[in-house]
Amino acid sequence: MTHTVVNIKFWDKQSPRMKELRFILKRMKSSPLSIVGLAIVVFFTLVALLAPVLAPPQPNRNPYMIPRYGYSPTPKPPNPVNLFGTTEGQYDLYYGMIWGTRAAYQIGVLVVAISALIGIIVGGLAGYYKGVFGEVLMRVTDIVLAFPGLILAMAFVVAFGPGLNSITVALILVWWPSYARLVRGEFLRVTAEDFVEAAKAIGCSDLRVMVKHVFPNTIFPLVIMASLDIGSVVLTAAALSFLGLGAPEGYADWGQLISLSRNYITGAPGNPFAYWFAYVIPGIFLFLFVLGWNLLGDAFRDILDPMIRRR
Amino acid sequence: MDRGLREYLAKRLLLIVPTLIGVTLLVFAVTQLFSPVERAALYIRDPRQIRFVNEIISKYGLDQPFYIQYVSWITQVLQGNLGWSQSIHQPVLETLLSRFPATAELAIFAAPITIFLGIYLGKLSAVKKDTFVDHATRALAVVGWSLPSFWLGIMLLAFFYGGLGMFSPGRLSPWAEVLVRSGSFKVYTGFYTVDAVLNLNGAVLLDALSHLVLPVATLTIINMALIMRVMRSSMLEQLGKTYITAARARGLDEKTVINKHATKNALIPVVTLSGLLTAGMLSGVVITETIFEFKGVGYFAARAATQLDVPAVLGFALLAGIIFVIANLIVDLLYAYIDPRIRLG
Repeated sequence: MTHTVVNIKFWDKQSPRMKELRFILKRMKSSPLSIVGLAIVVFFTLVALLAPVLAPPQPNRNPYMIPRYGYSPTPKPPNPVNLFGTTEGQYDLYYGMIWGTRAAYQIGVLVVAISALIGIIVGGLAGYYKGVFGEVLMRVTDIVLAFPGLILAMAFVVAFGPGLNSITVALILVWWPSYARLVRGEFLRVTAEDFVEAAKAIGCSDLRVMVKHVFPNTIFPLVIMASLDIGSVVLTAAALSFLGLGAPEGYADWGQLISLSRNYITGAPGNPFAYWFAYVIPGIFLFLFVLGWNLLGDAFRDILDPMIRRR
Repeated sequence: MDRGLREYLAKRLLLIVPTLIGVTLLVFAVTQLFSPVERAALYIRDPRQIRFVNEIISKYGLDQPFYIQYVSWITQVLQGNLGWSQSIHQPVLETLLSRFPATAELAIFAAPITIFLGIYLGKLSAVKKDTFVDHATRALAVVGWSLPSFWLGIMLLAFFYGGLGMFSPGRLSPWAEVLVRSGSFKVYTGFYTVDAVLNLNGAVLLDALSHLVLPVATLTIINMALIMRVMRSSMLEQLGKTYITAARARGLDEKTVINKHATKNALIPVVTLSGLLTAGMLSGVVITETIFEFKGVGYFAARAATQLDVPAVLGFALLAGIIFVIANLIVDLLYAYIDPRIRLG
């Protein structure tokens, strides 16, 4: 049997990767909701990247601390100086929204990335070597997952002392088990395949088999889970901030800004919605951010999940 | 009960012991972040005991290795001593028990509505796949799933309470609160709606119900989304199976095929979710209770957390963990009952 070596470059039209890319784009185009999700995520990513341009911080000042315009408690409606108005304590809402986007990305990406990394290492080892270690790991994750996430995170934050760092660590502690479970399951599935057996037979080291042969086949479910989790992580972090367990007052944090508006929901005498901007604007930003990521995650799942995709 | 089910039941009940040990170990591990003096608060029943901190430390072995400490701690927990809550000036267990009826009342109204609506809309969405109804319900699901519960609560309060003067926060209006606390109103269950019926007091019943509207609506909108999603995909999966084609080929009308054949099987994954959802609501909905000042377990936990009242927060986490373990057990047993493949496989 003759064996021709086909050397296909990545960018060739016929290369499998380009085919995959074209397929993904085609699927995205056919689903309006994923376009909306993508647009929202692109918008927020640009806002986060361009924050220093959109809302220049004062020099020698922590850019995440919102500038104040006076000390009166009552929120001020939108005006030329404060585009979105100010909230309780005269914190500028526009500045808070822009830098809040960065803060949301920081906590969302950090928590998901570290949880996924821990999950990949622990779950991968447990799935590859099986045996007692895998069983013990599953029992540990069972226990963490036996608690409602917000409540366990709350207990951790109280134990560590309030603050953004505590929230980040607490959320990682709550989130990694689901990644470990996912990766272990995927490793169990993939290591049973013939090509893994073949790789072992030609003498690949365990590490090489894991990294080069098994891991690439577990990427899709990981990407789906991670993209669906960013919204949930940001939502949970905002909930903890809302309860007053997060950043110090005045930090660009959507959850905290929503909580600052709580005293003003009944409005002013004769004008019940006098302070609408104080609760509507931060809420819209948080909601759209989470919505965008959830829609995008859904789109990824529709495209990448082999059970759902149909060519 | 057949033998398979009995064996499964025994196995599943045995499994609960290590899980409960794990759950308590995790809560206990959190306490290890504190110094022995701070930890002593977990063993105090009365603030006057603070003078005897050193005695407490040596009595419960708070300076001993963790396994000795764990045993002495779990002994206390089993005796119902969860420590003293600084923020509420009461023993933790007493607070949890006295606030539980409020949380349970909320769950009793919110859970069935959420589950029923979620199943109904999810099924509708699947049966009418790719029509306008399907797109609308799916959009509703993703919106509900992305809405921050605290923001939704604030918006509902701003509109109904701030704007229209309806549905004030709290569990009762001030006049009803006074009446309930007076001697003429007998508290039987702590559920104000039930107690109002038992006292034959229509005004209090209406007042209690009107205070339930917004929190129940918030919980329903947020949680319904998940049930809808699972029901829709499960229903679609069932509708694609050959037994459905077979049923149609036998000439059954579409209504019977959907209601009697597909729905029954599609409901199986929804059972787990509904169980966990109910457990989540019973263990205290921190955010919703806080926004609507609905003074249940979750409201208490949120207040305690902001005041760094460690024993109260840990007691609350422990309660939530135990409720979840029990809910999981009930769900698994229900599963075995519904789906013979589990107990026989």
